[in-house]
Amino acid sequence: MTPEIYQEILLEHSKHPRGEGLLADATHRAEAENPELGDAVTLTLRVGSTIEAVGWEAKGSAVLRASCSLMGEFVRGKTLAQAQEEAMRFRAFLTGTQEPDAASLDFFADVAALSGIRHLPARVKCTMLPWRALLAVEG
Amino acid sequence: MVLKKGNTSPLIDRPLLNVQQVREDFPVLAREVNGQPLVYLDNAASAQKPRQVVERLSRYYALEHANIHRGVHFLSQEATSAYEAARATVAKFINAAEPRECIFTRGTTEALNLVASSWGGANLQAGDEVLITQMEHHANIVPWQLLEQSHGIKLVVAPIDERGQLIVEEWEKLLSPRTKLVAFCHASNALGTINPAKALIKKAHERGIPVLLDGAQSSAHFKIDVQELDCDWFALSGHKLFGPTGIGVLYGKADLLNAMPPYQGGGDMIEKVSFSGTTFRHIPERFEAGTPHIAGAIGLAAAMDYIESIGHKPIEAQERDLLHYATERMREIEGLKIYGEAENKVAVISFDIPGIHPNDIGTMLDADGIAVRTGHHCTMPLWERFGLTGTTRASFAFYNTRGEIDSFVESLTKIKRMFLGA
Repeated sequence: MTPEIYQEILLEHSKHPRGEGLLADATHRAEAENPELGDAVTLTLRVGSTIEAVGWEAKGSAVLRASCSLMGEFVRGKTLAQAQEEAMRFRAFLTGTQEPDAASLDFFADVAALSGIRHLPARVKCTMLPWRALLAVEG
Repeated sequence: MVLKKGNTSPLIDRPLLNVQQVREDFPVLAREVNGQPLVYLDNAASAQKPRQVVERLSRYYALEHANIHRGVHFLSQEATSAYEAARATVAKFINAAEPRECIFTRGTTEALNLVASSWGGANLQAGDEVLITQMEHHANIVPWQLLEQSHGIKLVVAPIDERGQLIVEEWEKLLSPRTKLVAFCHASNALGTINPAKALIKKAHERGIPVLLDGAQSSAHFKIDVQELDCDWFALSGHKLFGPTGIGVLYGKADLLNAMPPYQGGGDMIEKVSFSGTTFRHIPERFEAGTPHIAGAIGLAAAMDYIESIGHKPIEAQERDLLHYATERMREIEGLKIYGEAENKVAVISFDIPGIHPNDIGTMLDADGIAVRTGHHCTMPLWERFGLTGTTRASFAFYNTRGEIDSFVESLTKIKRMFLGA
């Protein structure tokens, strides 16, 4: 992925984020923060048999907002357990030293857009934040 | 007067420095990052190293290394001489009265902790106050907070004004009979503000209060004269001074240092060890337990020699020009706000562009090969004062150029357009 496309996806999601704002009828809620970076995320979910809706509030960078937006799109329609499994895979992908194979890229679809930041640990922390909140959701 | 792009500054502002020639001493400056020439504007975090330092380190490790202060053999004596000569170079660099007043530490942080732990541990009691300022680095906050926990002392914080300057009258009001120590940064790493150290030290001394000066950010930028300042302690870091990492200096007045208990125990710092009692050596060895960073000390001396070879005046002139030029050019960017507008500043510019997170600015600048620092710069309480969690910071050294500042401003303008539109 070229930096230009990465920037485009990042900017698109940070300017027009999907799912921004907390759900009034949430069944689950969790928070995560990176105090060092001043980043914070509150995540709300409405879960039936699967995740029906995702709403979030984020304080921090465009990378963080884009990550929230992308994650919400990605986990909707999955069960909570499935979504949390994906979160663990995503973490391994972001912090891994190996380049993603085609299957992983496909698997993470839009989320892979943020692979451009995989080699910048501080940005990995930003990107991971909503996923950490997702992992903190108690099922 | 308004400065325009290019070399249009008045003659008096012209640097006396051949920047292109100096840049050749720093191999890293010829690197490309992300396909662009590196523009290194993160000097307040750590400065780059000239060949003279790298080659000195290399020669020491290749040909001169042995442990010091113990061997009777040639190499050990040679290394001991080089290490002690480095101490003499440091003493001359900061104009200490004697080399033994200069203790080698791992850096400024360890130097400050040494004073807190040794002097503070022995001399401070519950209810005693340590007066610092709102613009301190965490390294000049946390050691005192540890003493709050262990000794029940009280940390008192003097406020700064909107421009990032210490409010001296307020600071003075906070000096009380309970104040047992005054500590502050000579120059702020986050704002660039140069504190009026000499005047503050005089006021503290009039009340019999000793002063610890954090010189991490001042020592790379202008001539330090600890006798003229009359500070009781002065701390600096080698890596910010174009020297190696892992080496720094605590200067202290000899009588004061000799009255302080050891900081760490081990070899080199003792006179005689017995299970019935151990006696300690005088300064500087008392505070240098174990094998010190010999190469670091020698490399630091090489860095100080290098700075002296260029001269403080040309360095100051060049940095003043860069600060002035960068400030003017950055003000062309609408909405950009500079934090730290003290009259007296080192070449550090912290700024915020509302609507764009500093980490995004930093990442995008990096894509253009430009290195800056983003975040809280280890001064979280300072940003609370301004209602921010952090800023983007560009910090300059004498090897930076106006051309680099042009690239930086151009990249910033592009980033602003990308995130916020025209």
